[in-house]
Amino acid sequence: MFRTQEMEINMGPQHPSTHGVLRLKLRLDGERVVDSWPVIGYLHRGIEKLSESKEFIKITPFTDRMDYVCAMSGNLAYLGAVEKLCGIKVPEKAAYIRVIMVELNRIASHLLWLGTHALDIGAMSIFLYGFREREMILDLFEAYCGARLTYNAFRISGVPADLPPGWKEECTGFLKLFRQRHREYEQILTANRIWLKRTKDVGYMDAEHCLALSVTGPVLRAAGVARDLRKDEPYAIYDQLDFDIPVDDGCDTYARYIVRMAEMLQSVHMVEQCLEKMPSEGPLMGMKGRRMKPRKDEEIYFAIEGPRGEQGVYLISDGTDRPYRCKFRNSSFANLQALAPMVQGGLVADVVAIIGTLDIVLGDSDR
Amino acid sequence: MPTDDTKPPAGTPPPRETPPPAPKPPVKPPDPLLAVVSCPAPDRLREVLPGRVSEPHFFAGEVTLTVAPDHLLEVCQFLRHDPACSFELLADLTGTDFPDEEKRFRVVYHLASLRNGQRLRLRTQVGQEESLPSVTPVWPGANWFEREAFDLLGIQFDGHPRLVRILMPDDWVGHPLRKDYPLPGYPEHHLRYRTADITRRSYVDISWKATGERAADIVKKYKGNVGAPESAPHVPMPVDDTNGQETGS
Amino acid sequence: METQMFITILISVVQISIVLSLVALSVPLLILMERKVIGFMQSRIGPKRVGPSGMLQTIADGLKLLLKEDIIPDRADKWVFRLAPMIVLVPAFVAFAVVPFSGTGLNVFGQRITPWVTDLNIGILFIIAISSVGVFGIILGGWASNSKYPLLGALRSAAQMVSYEVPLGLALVGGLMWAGTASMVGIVEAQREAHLWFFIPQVVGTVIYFMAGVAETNRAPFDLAEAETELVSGFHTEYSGMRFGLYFIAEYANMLIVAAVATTMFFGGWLRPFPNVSWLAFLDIFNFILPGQWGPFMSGLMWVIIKVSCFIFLYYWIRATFPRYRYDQLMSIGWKWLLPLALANIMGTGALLLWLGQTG
Repeated sequence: MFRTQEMEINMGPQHPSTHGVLRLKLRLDGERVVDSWPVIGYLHRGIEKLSESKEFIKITPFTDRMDYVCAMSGNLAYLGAVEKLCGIKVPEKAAYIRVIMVELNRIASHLLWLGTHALDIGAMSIFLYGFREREMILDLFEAYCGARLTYNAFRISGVPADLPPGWKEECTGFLKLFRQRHREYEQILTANRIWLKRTKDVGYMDAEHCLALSVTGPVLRAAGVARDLRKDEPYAIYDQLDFDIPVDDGCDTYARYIVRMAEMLQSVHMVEQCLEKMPSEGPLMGMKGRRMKPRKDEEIYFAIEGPRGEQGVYLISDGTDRPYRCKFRNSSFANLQALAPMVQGGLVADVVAIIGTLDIVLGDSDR
Repeated sequence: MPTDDTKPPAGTPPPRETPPPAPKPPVKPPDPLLAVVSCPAPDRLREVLPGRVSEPHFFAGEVTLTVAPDHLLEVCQFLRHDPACSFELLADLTGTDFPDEEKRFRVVYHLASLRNGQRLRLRTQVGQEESLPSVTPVWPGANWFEREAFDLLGIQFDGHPRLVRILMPDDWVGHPLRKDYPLPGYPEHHLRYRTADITRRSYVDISWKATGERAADIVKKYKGNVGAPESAPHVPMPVDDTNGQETGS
Repeated sequence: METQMFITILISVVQISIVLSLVALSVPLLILMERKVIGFMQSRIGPKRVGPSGMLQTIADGLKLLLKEDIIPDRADKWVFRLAPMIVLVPAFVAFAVVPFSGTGLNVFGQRITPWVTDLNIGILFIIAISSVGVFGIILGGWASNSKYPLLGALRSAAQMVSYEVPLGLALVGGLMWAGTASMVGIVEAQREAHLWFFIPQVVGTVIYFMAGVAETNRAPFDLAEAETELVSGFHTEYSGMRFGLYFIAEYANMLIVAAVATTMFFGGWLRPFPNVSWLAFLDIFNFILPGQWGPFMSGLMWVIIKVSCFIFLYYWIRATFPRYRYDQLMSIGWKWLLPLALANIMGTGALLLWLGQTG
């Protein structure tokens, strides 16, 4: 018969759908993926090394630059870790503001995921619809902290400023609009036959394998595990909010789509509650001064539920106001491990769908 | 101090006239960060695998156990599969350099149990010349974390499927997260990819047309400034013969 | 005698140049229309800087492509690489030779000029035959680039063309059976005589034809051969400058061809809706505006342009709405659904015609 030959192909680091600078070495038999080897590190900026020579407060801007799609979560994870290490209490109002920001940012992050994921699969318009709403969230952030992408919006022990006047109303208006727009996205995609064909049974990974590969976040929840640190290990004021954890047991790309779509609505619900329950008066910062005095030779690990999964920070103190070691456990890094087993045996077109469904941010994984 | 709004009854003398309380011995209140939290894992380990791990250390609601590298894999297997512990998720694995200590690397494993809602930190020390057993047989997800620890700190893991650099370039010299790594970096050691050698074609040097200088002259002129070409011997382009043969996980 | 021949040739040359320039000029318009339409659907504005409300944007883009450096990859098969875009472009334009743009011709200086270049009695076959030559250009272009993504794109394209040529041709057979002729002009005339557009008895055929046509022209959701997010740019990844431009023009010309054939075959070409209902005659609006022979000519042209534009709009609408199919799904649709359906359509049409012939 005919002699066939496997073809090696480099997907990335400059490829339209590797979401930045992921490089994927693929071995193809025709269009079928025989083997893959992800190469990361193109965005490695040595943030952990840099952090070792900076005071605690000066590391916060770095956390913006890791997961630049959801910088608020990065801020919160890092500051939560510092507060845990130093035993600092955050005033209630500040905690509310933090949760509002983080949840809005989760919506923005999921919108970006939705847009790029759909664009990878070929649905073009939803990308622009998603960005239209994301723009509104960014406007809200700009009104609060002046930045649109790298917010650096929180401080150790609290937040620097109250919500500006009129912000609440604007936010409420946006949330109302967003619920409506969310229905539009669902109309475009959820029952779309091509979308179903492209996402059902693509990138299958069940709960056992997800856990074995340290995969967390929506990917794990789409495998039927109701793991959400907001419920399991409540931080900030999540224990005072009423929300559900969307779970789906499809284990595939479509299930992840369903879970993330539902999560957006849950976030809307949470922000609404926060706006309602937030005390109108109260301190914003839990401590005065800037010198940290953590206990010597202690180490802590603090994790929050980022939009992509468990976003952890590991700090070792040496008694000074700088960390001895600052390690960021970023969910993109861990989730990216699932890429190789997921694409195995799929087609080239599935590879881009799977990269999209993992919702990776390369700045997050490369640090 | 909580204040009481109700006025004291008329008969009682005003508070400032009461004799001051006897001075208590200065006892520092216990630090809430050091509170002991309940965690079944240390007890289970003490029962089943006595003497393998240290006494638990509590800080900020976290439990830390120290284990010797020899027992690491055994303890991990137990923690993963024992129903009372059941740490299904390896949340994180990382190392830290303590150059002054006898065994310079401290490696921590952050375990999480979804079933029991517990977290546990496993800690071990390893010297520069020693190696740790890889925990990839227990948690396949340790693969990249161990690669990262190897890449940034130079910790060796035995039994890892393919321990290669992950964040730094393949041809990088040194392990940047070590505390003795020079911050400006080592002199440039990157591979120089020579296009002519790769494509086996000769190229005409046209640089002089634009600048009036030939490329070789420019290099000669800036030799002192741009790294040290002599110290970077030409290395042929690495042929990745293991390419795809043994992928991770 | 010789003068007459010379005049005939001259008329043909004039016709050809008019058709060529019309098609070539409509491509920038189509691109502009696409960007505006999709911009509208995606709640944005689209081009608006160059010229009045962006009208000259595609001209500027075309100029840029013309002036760009023409890069030929080092290891490419240079001759094939240069040849491939032309192989795609030429058939796309040649196919317009048999497309009727209007019903009645013009008399200029005593010479009759038909609104089609030629009226072959195998017009439909000619178009199908010619437009399948274009795929060779795509395959050759992908192959000659000597690069991996173009190769994948070329392979996809080859498989796609092979599978969709068949339902495309079969879908037209039903219409041909109604018309009883393969001449493009004859088909429209048959629709006038039958008092109905063949779209009505041939709904299935029309749908199959249009789906296969979208696949044939490599447009979304069947744009697997270039699949920007998967194969970077598919078969024309390595092309730049005007060679890429040629592919681009050919793609739009092919869309026009598909739309024009659909118009002629199923939607009555230059005929107005319900050509037998006399009180609808006011729809042929140019008959009342322009004098003499120009009225019917312009009315026919108007209907052709409107119908073709509707199809082109459908193309854009689909592109803005649907995700892309996967390679294996595309194949299974082509072979498992479209082909049997097209065959069943032929059977059904045959049975219907037999029955009509017996009763009528």
